[in-house]
Parts: sequence; structure tokens; C-alpha cells
Amino acid sequence: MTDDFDAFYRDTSRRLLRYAYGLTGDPAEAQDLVQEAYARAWQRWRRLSGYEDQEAWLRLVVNRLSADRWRRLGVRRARAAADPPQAPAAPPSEDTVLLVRAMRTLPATHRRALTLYYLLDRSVGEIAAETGTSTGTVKSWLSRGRAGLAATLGTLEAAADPALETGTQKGAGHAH
Amino acid sequence: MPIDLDDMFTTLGRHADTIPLAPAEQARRRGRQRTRTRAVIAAAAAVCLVTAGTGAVIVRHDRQTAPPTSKRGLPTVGAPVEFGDQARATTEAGADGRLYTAWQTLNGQISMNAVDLRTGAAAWPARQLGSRTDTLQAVNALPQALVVILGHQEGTESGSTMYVFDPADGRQRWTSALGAGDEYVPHESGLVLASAKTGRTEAFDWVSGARRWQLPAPADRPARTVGTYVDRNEDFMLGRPFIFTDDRLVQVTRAGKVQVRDIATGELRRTVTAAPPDTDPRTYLAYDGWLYNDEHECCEANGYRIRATDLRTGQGGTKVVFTRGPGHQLDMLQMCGDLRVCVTDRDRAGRTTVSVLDLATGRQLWQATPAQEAGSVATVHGYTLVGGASGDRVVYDRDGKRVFSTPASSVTWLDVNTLLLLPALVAGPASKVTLPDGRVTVLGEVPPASDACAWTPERLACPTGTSLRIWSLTG
Repeated sequence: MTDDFDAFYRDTSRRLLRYAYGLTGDPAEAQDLVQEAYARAWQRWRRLSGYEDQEAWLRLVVNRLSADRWRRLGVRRARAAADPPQAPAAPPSEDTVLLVRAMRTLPATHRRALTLYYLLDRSVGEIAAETGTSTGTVKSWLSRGRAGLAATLGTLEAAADPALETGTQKGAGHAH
Repeated sequence: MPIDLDDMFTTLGRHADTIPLAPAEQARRRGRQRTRTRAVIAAAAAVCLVTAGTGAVIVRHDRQTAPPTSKRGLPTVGAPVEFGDQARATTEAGADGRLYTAWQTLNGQISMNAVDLRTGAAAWPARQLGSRTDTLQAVNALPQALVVILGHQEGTESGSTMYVFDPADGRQRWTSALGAGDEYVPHESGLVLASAKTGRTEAFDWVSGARRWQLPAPADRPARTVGTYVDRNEDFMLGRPFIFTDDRLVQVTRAGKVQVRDIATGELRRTVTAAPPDTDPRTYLAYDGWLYNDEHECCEANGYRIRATDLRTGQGGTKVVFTRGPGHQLDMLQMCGDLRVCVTDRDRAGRTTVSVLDLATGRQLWQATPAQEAGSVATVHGYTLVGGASGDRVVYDRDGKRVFSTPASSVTWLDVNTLLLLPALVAGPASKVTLPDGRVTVLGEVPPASDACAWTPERLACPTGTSLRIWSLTG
């Protein structure tokens, strides 16, 4: 059971860290969220290992933890107390700092959609399935998220992404 | 020059890929520790049951009734308290009618202020604290002191500092370093700190920070140091600041001795022999003369036992009062009021069971299987609110009878016999529900709530990005 879990961790933790970082913009917090999500996964690994999409379950946990962290931060200190401190991350580039700041101005739904779309390569349809909403809503989140980023970043051209116009495939300009 | 969003996200993704990740073993170890810390969560925080749904339909018993919808906004109180930039904030309503808020803006600056909840006016001006590399961890608005905890990182060393302020004017009184694994017990008479590193236990005066008493590290060191709950402490389930009021401090040593001390003096009153703590962290609940804890033979999946130790006399016995078989994992062990203990566990299929035990005898009074992944139990004056990651939030009465349920996203106790239902993720109506009749009153529209909100029976306060807003719940 331990080997299975460790293999799953090796295969998926890097993607979950991307997701957590996209949501929070804070390397240390992302590290902690990932650890906490996998800690919960380990607690119910016997059942979770039978799930079709275990990573979606982990992202759901990260969503919830990131949404309610502030009231529980005092508890996190106690929880993390026994863990060795995690190694600090390299400093981000200026662009990343700007983007993180802009992302923090967005509602959580927009941030989540943008993170899934840009950092995890999920299509609009996949995001709709994961968030339990319609593709139209996802397009709206992405569109409004981009507009919000544009407003904050100032010089971003708020050109619509073709994918948002036409369906669930990403635009050619998207980095894979 | 225009900025290419694709490129920026690519750069951000590359940076994410350079963030160091701890090994899987560390996550597994934290998973084992969570059994213990869930009880801490229950004790330290008000229970606000939030999930990712947005439904606010009210269900009572087997009836499903939608409350009347209203687009009328809740009346605001005072002007928004501006943070000066986008900020993350944590806030707590004090028993003195003030709201204490600390926030950290994007440039790292941490500030705090106090606002009169009745009028929304500033009680004292915003003050800056810590350094820009600190992280804001917690705010506790106790009657004796305003406590703010900041985390810091120096090289690979992480730690925290506790700042103690005068709630009257926000002036700093004293500070104390908190190390990894330290335990602290806030009590009316002072603050008890047990150091994991040195093994010392000390108590400090809330006002002066002077050491009131200290215990040197004994050969048989304390493994756990906890305060004692009594029934009147159930008010913390209402989201009110919590401080221990009972005068018994309980320490469990590595050899399994349970020491009951006078929390005001540190004096040893009695020692009771119990089972040595397992090597894995476990949950300890000291409640009105009894110490409850869980025990495991080996693996989480092999079931668990609940042990009750009588701390009322030196001859108090210790016995196993409750057992769950293979496949059951303990989630929480907490006081439920009326001298009852709530035990929450889940089986391999994720089914949660809440078992309510009589404190003195350990006899099971009732048991319920409310929902998948139920993670929160909060009992106020005999009504037990149970909720979790999915399914309805359910309220049971003293006899375990299901009296109310709702799929609402965020449910918390507003006051005795009154629940507050708030929207999550998107704006929506806030409602209150009185028990046991289940009468629903729609209060008005509010922005999506989060666990960063604070509330009293009269006021709701939530950080909303760049400011703090206060609404009246009484019209």
C-alpha cells in the first residue's frame, strides 16, 4: 500500500504543486497545501486508490484548504510543527511576481479556472466537468479572469482567446 | 508593450516546477498526525462548515422547502475599513464588542486594527507589526489580551513569534518565541507554554509577560500538555474567542503518568497512572475531571480504542470505554456538553459515524451515521451540528434524533439555538434558522463568505479583498 501511494505521489505531486501555486501564489503555502492534501489522501488511501480520478480529488482538497486557511492557520502551525521545514523556493521572476499579484485580485472561481486552464492544460470542457458547471460558465470565468488580470497588469491586451469563443479547445497561443 | 499572458503563465509554471517538494514519507507521517490535530482544530476554531457547493436550499426533516429569495442586501455598518491594497486578512470578534483584524498586503506589510462592531468606527488606529518577510498566522481576541502569531523563516529554520497586545489601545505588551511542537494553553490566569525543545513548562502573566511559575524539564518529560474543558466552554462553538476557565492543567508524560496541576501555580495536585502514549500522536481531551484519549495497536486501519482516565482523585482508574474494529479511523474526540464526549470516525468506505458517550461511564448514548466525509461536529446546548465535505449538514438533538438538515454551503452556530447559513463561492442570501422549529429567516444578500468571516448575533464581518466590511444581522 505504501509503495502504491509513494508511486502516486511521485507521478502527481508536481502537478498538484503547480495547481496549489496557481491558486495561492505563495511557494511555502503551496508546499504546505500539497503536503496536507497528500496527508489526507494517505489517511483514506485504501478507498481513494480505487477512484477513477484521484488527482481531481486532491485538487478539491487543495481548493477547500486554500479557501479556509486563514481561520486554521493557527492550527497549521501545530500540525506542521513535527514536519521538518521545507526547503525554500528560488525567487520568482519579475513577471511571475506581477502575475501572482494580479491573480490575487481575482475571485477564487476565476483563479481556479485560469490555473486549470493555463497551468494544468485543462480544456474548458474538462474544467466544466471538474467544477460541476457549464462550459459557458467556465468561459465566463476565464474571460472575466483574463479581463481582471488585464486591468491589474495594465498593459495586457484583453484580446479574447479563440478557445473562449469557440468551445473547449485551447487557443494556438497557449503554452503547452 | 503588451504583456503575453501565455508567456507569463508559462514562466509561473516553470517557477512552480522549481519549488522543492518534501518526500512522500513526510505526507504519510502528517496523515498519521492528523488524527491528533483534528481535535485541536475542533478546540481552537469555531466550527464553520464550508464546502464547494453553492446551494442554499433549506431542508427540514424529510421536507424540502426553499426559503423565500431576497435580493435585498444586508445593511452595512460603518464605512469599509480599507487595507490599502489587496490583502489577506484574519479577523475575530472579541467579547468586548470589538472586531480585531490583522491583514497582510501584497508587499508583505502586516497591520492590525480594532473596530467597534456596533458602529463600525475605529477603536484604535491601524498598527504595523512584524517584518515584511513574516507570515500572518493567527489572531486571538481574548478578554485578557489580543494575541497575534506571526511565522518567520530564517534560512531553513522556521518558527513563530507570539505578540501580546493590550486590546484597549493596541499597544504591544510583550512577545514570546514559539518553537516547533510547543504547546500553549491560554487560561484566564495566564498563558501556559510547554516547550518541546527544552521540556520546560512555564506560565506568563497576560499583562506584564512576567513568568508566574515554571517547571524545569523532568526526566520523564511531558508528551502532551492540555487545558481542561468544562461545559460552559461550549460557547467557543459559537465562534467566540476561547480561553480555558477551569483551574486544572493536565500533562501526560512519556511514561504514561497523568499529572494534574493547578494551572495558576503549577503545583502538582495528583498523579494518575494511565497507559503510556503511543509513539504516534494521539488525541487527548481533558474534560471536567476525566481524560479521554485514543489508542491504536498498529495501523490506522486496525481500529481504535477510547480510554477514559479518572482524574478526580489520586486513585482514579483508567479503562477502555469504547472500541471500534478494523477499518475504522478516529477523526475527532471532543466535548459535546452535558458531560458527554463525541467520537467521530470513518470507515473504509468513507462513512462517518458520530458516537456520543457519557463522560463518567463511557456508555454510548446514541450513534448516528450522518454523511460521507463528515468532518465537523459542534454541539451547542444539546444540539449537535454535523457536516463535512459532502452531503447535508445535519442537526441532532440530545437523544440523537435528527431535527434539521440543509445542503447549504456554509453553516455555523450564530447563537444558542440559531444557525447562520452563508453563501460560498458566489454572492447569495444569508439566512438564519432557529431550532428546534427550523424556522428560516432570510437576512439579505452578502458576498461569498469564507472562513475568514467573524460574526456575533448582531454582526457579520468579512474581509473582501481590499477592505473589511461589516453587516448588521438584525436589520
